[in-house]
Amino acid sequence: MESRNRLAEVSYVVSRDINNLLSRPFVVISRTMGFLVQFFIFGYTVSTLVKGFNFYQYYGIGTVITTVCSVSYLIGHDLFDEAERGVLDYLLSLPISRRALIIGRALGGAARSMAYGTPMFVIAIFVLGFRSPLDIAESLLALFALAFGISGLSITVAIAIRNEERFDILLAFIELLTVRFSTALYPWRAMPYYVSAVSSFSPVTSAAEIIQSSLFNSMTDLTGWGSLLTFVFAFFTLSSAFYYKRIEGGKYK
Amino acid sequence: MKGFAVVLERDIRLFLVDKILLVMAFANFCIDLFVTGITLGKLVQGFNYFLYLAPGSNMITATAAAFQAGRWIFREKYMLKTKQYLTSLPVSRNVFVAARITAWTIRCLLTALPGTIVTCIVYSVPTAFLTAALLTTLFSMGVVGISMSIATMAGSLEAYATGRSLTSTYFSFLSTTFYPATSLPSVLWPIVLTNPMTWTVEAFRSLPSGVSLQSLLYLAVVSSLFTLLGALLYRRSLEG
Repeated sequence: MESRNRLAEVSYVVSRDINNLLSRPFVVISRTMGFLVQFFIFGYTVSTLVKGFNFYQYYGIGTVITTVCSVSYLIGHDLFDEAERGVLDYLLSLPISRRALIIGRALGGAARSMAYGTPMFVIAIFVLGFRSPLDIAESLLALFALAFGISGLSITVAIAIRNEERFDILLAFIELLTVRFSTALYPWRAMPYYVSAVSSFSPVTSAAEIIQSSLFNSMTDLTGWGSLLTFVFAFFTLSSAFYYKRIEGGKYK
Repeated sequence: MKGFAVVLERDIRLFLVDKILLVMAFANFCIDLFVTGITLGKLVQGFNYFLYLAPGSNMITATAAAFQAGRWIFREKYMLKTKQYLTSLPVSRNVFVAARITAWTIRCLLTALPGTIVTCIVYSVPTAFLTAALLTTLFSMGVVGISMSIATMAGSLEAYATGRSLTSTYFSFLSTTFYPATSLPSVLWPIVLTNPMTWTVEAFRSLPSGVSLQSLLYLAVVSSLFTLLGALLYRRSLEG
């Protein structure tokens, strides 16, 4: 009975976060436009300049991964905004356990990224010609795990930093770091050594390796799964700890 | 003139309070150039993609910095609520608006200056630094005007962010920032070739051989028009 209540509590928090994103058509429209331009214009045009392998296929899937990643970072912005406007205090006063709230926020961040990213993934696999249901399912699962972990990371930063401009810049910087130092948009072999060394630590690399291995070779990348799940666990734990300890003190500037 | 200097100084001082922002902007430029540029450079055949990307990476940094102007307008209006105070200052509206545009352009130039230096170095034209700085200034001035126009027309921060995002997409992907115009479908050429970003990055790429007067004039005219539009709209928003 208690676990059913907790599940209901988590689902309230998750659905609130999904509605929060979908009620902002401007965000959805601008990011969709960004994806379409990157997929159909940038990806296609650069692929005409690259010789030796199918860059369009590689980049097309990478664009979906980076878009899901980018939407997952938005949960931190929402949290910061809520803390600044005092809505977080209201949320804490609701008859929902702190644990359900924390799990719900991280899950909500991931669920809405998937609600947003899945149609783009469908466009990409349709255009690029991937048809295996098992490979597609594994890729979606990897995207969800990545979104969950990035939401945790974003929540951690939102709670740790209390200056708006610094928060904006730092989060944009972390996003750039995790995406550009990853194999989502370009392969290992083309990277300079200082990029490939850092790239192996990026969760986006882990997710990209799993998805590329699954879609391009129909194989499961167990090492990639191990790294991705470690990242998810680490940042979920960290964000939970921050949410518990830091949320009720300090002032937002 | 004194009022102009005071408003200008205030805006620049506010900008320099948090120097970490400058560091982060330069770091973003470096990641664009030394990670994406070098990596894609190994994949792209036929020309030096690293050199090709350098000016565009810097102008993307300048664009991001210029859009902080619109963000400030929002902050002052809705969060800091300093609009009443600022409009009560003993400075005429025209001088106030002109000083702010100048300050925001200087802020962009300061943000993009390290990238401008790096671009001159990778192009092996350190003596062309002044021309490069002039190009950065002209481009920044125009984007500050666009940013102010969007900020004064947008009814919410989200609408502003969307305007910013669409402008950035237009500047980055519908220009010759990442690829030559001939690689794009011919139907897009009119859009690409009239894009101020195209003129700016092409002028940067021609630094070793000398920037044409036509490029400078085109940029100056387009930037002035956008700045004028931004100034008029911002001035009108101060009245309401």
